Amino acid sequence: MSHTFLSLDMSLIPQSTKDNVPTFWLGLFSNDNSRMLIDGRNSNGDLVHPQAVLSAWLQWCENPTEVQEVLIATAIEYTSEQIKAEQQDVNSIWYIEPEGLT
Amino acid sequence: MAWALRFDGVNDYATLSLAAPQSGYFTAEIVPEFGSLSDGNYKLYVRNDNSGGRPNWYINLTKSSGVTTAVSLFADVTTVNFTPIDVSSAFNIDLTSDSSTREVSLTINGTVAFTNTTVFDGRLSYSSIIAIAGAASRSLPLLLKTYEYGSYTTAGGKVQTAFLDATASSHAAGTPILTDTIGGNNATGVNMPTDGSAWVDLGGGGTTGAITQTAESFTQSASGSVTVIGFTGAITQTAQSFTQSLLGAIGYTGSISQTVQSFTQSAIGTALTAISGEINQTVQSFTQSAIGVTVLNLTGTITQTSSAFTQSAAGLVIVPISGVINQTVSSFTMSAAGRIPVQWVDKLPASTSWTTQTETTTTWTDQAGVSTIWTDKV
Repeated sequence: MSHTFLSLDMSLIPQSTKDNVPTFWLGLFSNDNSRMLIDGRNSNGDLVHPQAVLSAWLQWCENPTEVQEVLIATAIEYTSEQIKAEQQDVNSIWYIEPEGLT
Repeated sequence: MAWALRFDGVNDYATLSLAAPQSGYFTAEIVPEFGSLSDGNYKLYVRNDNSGGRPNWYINLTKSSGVTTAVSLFADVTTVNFTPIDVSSAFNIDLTSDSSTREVSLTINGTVAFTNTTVFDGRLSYSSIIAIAGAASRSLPLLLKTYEYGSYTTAGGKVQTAFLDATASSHAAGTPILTDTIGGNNATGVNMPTDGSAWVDLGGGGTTGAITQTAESFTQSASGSVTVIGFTGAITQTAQSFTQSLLGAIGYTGSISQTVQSFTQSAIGTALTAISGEINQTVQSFTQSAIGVTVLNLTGTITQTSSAFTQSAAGLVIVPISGVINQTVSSFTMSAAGRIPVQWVDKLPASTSWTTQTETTTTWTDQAGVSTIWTDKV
């Protein structure tokens, strides 16, 4: 079953995470760079990233638990269909212009 | 058991540790996940980057009334339309290109979409990224089973550079890594779940039942780098020829029975381990050969009741055979060239020599002057 997606507020993501996580900038960002899209929750409502991974991303923070709670609490959650619709909506920050010829 | 890596069609892709060549071939086995998607157009991507640059190429797909077809290939700046090919279920694609002639051929599910068509403004360059989904509009959510690329020899043969196999990969939690079983050039999943849910068990494989063939020919082949493990059932062949070949490792614990005609089991450059079942051959010839191979722990029974039986092993040899080999009719040959597990020490020959002895003569003569008086005793 497909999982949901979480749109994180980039301003709440610690700079240390942006600087030190090797794959951070391989992620998907909104066109205005205000949000980052990560995989969210499975059908049981559990995050599809284990706590160990989340902790690794926030390991340079002085208060990683609080930062994590704020990031999750302020995230916008999308289903797969919803985010795909956003990607095709020219007015959305997630809009992706069609490529090439069809 | 077959596995696949899920690309969610939103932000997933995978990076290759070795960029694919700019000419050669590319193949992939894919299971699309159209289930919840509305009718419309979707794309299967492969590209060099994931930052919005021009994709290397993609296949345009159209979903209509539950049926999805591949309709065209886009590469560089050109689109080639072809007769729609149904890809509603699992499908595979085979794309080849020639860097000098710029000719490209595409085959989908064994159907040639087009062949040797010069359509590209530039060379069709393959990818350092499998952005089959990713930051692109209407990406196709899919399950990727295998991803292979390589080059062609001047004679037209394929030379594998990489064979990424979801089944051979670790399915544990963590960043998904697609294992390259050829050159170790693994691919790394990006933006995928790290709890292990990116891996999907497709079922199948892991045969535990029986395979029965009662007439004519039966062929099961596996090319590439293949591991056959955990086969616990029986293979029964009752007519005509049976050939089983294994390139790779095996753990075979079932029985192999052949009751008619020839039986051939070969293993080249392979370790056969734990054959604990029975091999039965009741008619005609039986051949088991192992070249450069160690056959370990054959604990079952090999029975041959008629005609010829030949077992040969060149190189390393069978240790230990603790089972029974029975041969009741005709000839039986077992040969092993190379070292064997038991040392033989030749003893010097023992002999007994008989020779003729010189003749010995004893002469009795009367002695002179010697008298012997005999008197009666009281």
